[in-house]
Order: sequence, then structure tokens, then C-alpha cells
Amino acid sequence: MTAEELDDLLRQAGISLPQTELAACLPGAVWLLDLANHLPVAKGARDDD
Amino acid sequence: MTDPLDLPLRAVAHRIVAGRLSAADILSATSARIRRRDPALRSVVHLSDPALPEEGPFAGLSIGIKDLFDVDGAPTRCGSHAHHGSGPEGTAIRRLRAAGLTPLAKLATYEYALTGPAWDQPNPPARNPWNPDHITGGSSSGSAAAVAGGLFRAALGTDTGGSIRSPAAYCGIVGIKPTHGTVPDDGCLALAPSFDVVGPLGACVEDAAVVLEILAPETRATHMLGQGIEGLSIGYARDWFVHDPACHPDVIRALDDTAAILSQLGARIALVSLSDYAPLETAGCVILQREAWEVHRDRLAAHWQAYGKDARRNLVTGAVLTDAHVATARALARRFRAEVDGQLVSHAALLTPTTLSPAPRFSDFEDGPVWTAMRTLPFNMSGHPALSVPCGFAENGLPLGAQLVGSHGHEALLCRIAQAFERATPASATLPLPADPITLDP
Repeated sequence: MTAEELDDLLRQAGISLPQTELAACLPGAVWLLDLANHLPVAKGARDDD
Repeated sequence: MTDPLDLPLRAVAHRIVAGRLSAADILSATSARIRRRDPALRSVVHLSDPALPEEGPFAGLSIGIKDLFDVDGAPTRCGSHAHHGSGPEGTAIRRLRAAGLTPLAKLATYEYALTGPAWDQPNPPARNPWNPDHITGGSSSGSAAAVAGGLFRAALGTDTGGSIRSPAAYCGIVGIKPTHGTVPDDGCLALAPSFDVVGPLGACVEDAAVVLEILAPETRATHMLGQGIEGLSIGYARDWFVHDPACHPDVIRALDDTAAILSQLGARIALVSLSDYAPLETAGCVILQREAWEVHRDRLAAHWQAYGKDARRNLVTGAVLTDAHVATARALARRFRAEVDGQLVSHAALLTPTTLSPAPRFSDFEDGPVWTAMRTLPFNMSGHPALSVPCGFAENGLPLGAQLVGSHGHEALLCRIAQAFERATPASATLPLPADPITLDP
């Protein structure tokens, strides 16, 4: 995740941030994305229950 | 003689009904105590001035309301400069009024129930009545401070990841997160709808149970109070926290003592294992942050600068999550619910800590948000009811909380176990002293 990618995502939601604010938001977004990318896949869990 | 404001709700209600106390006098005395004590606590963000008490079995008694709920005659700020709402009262507030409880004050919340403490909200953070240099926890920060500070015997809160239970633990009071969906949440601003739960914080188990039963009569939350726990099996999930480097040794000691007391009361304590905690917390964060982003996206676009910096930076993390992340997280949530349901076939309740440390200092947050270790979020994912009850004190004198988790719809059983424990230990149902007045350095 780069600042440019985060900027793109936020602009899609109508949020346009200055570079300093974007830079301040980036660490939290990167942290959560990294955690989410390493979530284990649950075995035996059904999608429809 | 004990001040009636320090007696349980039912005890005062009985005295009023019997004509030994006046409903109007109790209401007036509550307002006066709030005005006297709250400047040191900063738990109240709006104090009403009703001419008359509500009518009902608890007429004259009052309750504090987290400032996420709409209450007639009071603004709803949600702890944010971005919010100036005021809608019709929802079912929960109407049920409290119908029982005679006056929603006398709106209480501080972390901004939009998200993150805190923060100093760029409309009001300064509420302070922990046990030590004003320490946080209350959140997001039901004012609710916990107001109850622990003796302003109210009970307050209304919300819990999306631990926001009733963790401040209850940090402030040495009782907090109940009912089964998801049990208490109607209309008239309350959502954070993450699949996790959000409305519930009570109380000065003792009985007070919390009384309010829960008003909010959701079908819980019959008071009906098992006073019964013993002999023969009940309680699963102690000790391995779920003792190896966490964030776990304070005082918490381990207090939880082991809790298990021992429950055993002395006749319960059978069995060590149980639960799935690794870290992936569960991550899954919970993924679902919560994604839903919170969806709730706030449009308002953020319109009012970015009005949000506090910690809140808006927290919310945008949800924008980077994909549907695949959420699907993976929800699969873990389903597996965890099945796992807990499986444990609760053999056990009446599971025992864990609520938080893994006593309340941190405000100074720990001067450079921004700090992750505080808890064991609450997975039960928002699974929807199980969970109750935090005071279980002792850390060496620094701050309270600690034990969490009891039960089967869906079994809040009354949790209240029964918690009250039996409460009656057996001086650590519970104890509010900080001296409490009137609380002094605070400028």
C-alpha cells in the first residue's frame, strides 16, 4: 500500500486529502492491511451459515 | 446511615414506594451530587433539569446515557465536532422512562465510540475515579466514570469491541454486553452494526441486571440472582491470556484467585483451550473497521476536518480492506462461535480476564493512540453475552475485571454467577473512597 494507492481509494469515496494528512493516515492503513493479508483461512467454516 | 444514592436501585425504589423516601427528593439529590462531583470526573456532557420524576416502579431514580443515544431535550454529539444530531428517542430510552428511570445526563464517549482518549473532542476525556491520572477506558468512558464516581447506580453504554466491558473493568464496576440483538439499538448511532450491542453498566451486579431486564425483559436478568453456583461448571480459559507478553502479572493473580473463589463457592473449574487469540482479534478488527468505514464514509467526505485526528485516521483504515478480507474474517468468526458454543455445552460459562492490565495513564496517550490488550472483541464477533465483574486490584490500587461469557440468551445465568462471586469477595461492588468530593489537581 502506497500513499498514491490510499489516495485513489479515498478519492473514490469523495475524500481528497493533502499529502501531509495522507502520510499521517498511511501507517494505520498499512498496519491493518498487513494483518488482514495474513489472516488464516478457517477450515470447516461454511460461507452460508 | 448509608446515603440512599449509594444503595442499589431496587432498595431505593422499595423505600420510595413505601413512602419512606420522596421520588422528587431523590431526583433532586442526584442532580446535586452530579453538580458537586462531576467537575473532577468530567463524565457528564449534558445535564438535564427535569421538573418531575418519570412515573413507574423506579420513579425518582436516574440513569446516565452514553452520548450516542438520542434523548429528548439533549443534543447528541457522539463526542465529535462533526456531529450535531438530535433524533427521536429509541426503544431503549423509552423503556427506561417507562420503568420510571430519568435519563438525567448524557455521558462522555470516545468519538463515535471509536478511539480515545483524545483531546480534540468537544469535551475533555472522562477521568478514572480511582485515580484521575488514569483513563477510564472506552468507549463508554463517561458511563463507567459516572457509575464508579457514584453519580448514578447504572448507566447505558454500547459495546462494539469491548466498550462496555473494558471501562467497567478499568473503573471497578459491572458491565454487561448482552447477546447481539437483544436490546433494541434504534435511536443510537451505529459503529459496526454486526457487532454493536446496547447494554448496562452498574455499580453492582444487581443494578446492572435490573437495568438489563428493563431494556430487554425477555432476558429475565434478575430472576436467578441470589441463587448459588454449586455444581455449575465454569471453563477457565487460562492459556488464552497468561502467555501474552502484554498480560500484567497482577491480572494472572487476580484471575487465578477468581477461579479459586468460584471453586470455593461450589463451582467446578475446568481449564479450557480456545483458538489462538491474535487471529481472532485481527478478524474482529477487519470486520469492525470495514463496517465503521461504511457507516462513516459519507460523513467523513463532508466533514473531514471536524473529526478528531485519531478518529478520522482510524476510520480510513477500513477503506483498504477488500470483500475477500471480510469474508475470511467472517469465516473465522463463524468458526469461533461454533467453538465457544461447543465449550458451553459442557460449561455454564467461560472465565477470562476483561483487560490484561489495569487502566493506563493518560500520559501514555500523549503521542497518539495506544493499543490496550483485552479479551473482549472475539465475543462481539461471536455474539455471545459477556459480563465484566470486578475481581481485585493491581498493586497500584486500580481495579481489575474478570469476564464471564455465556451461551446466547443466557444473561441471567451470567448475572447469577457474577453476583455469587461479588458477594464472596470484598473486591466487588466497592466504589472508590473518598468519593465526595473528589479532588483533582488543576
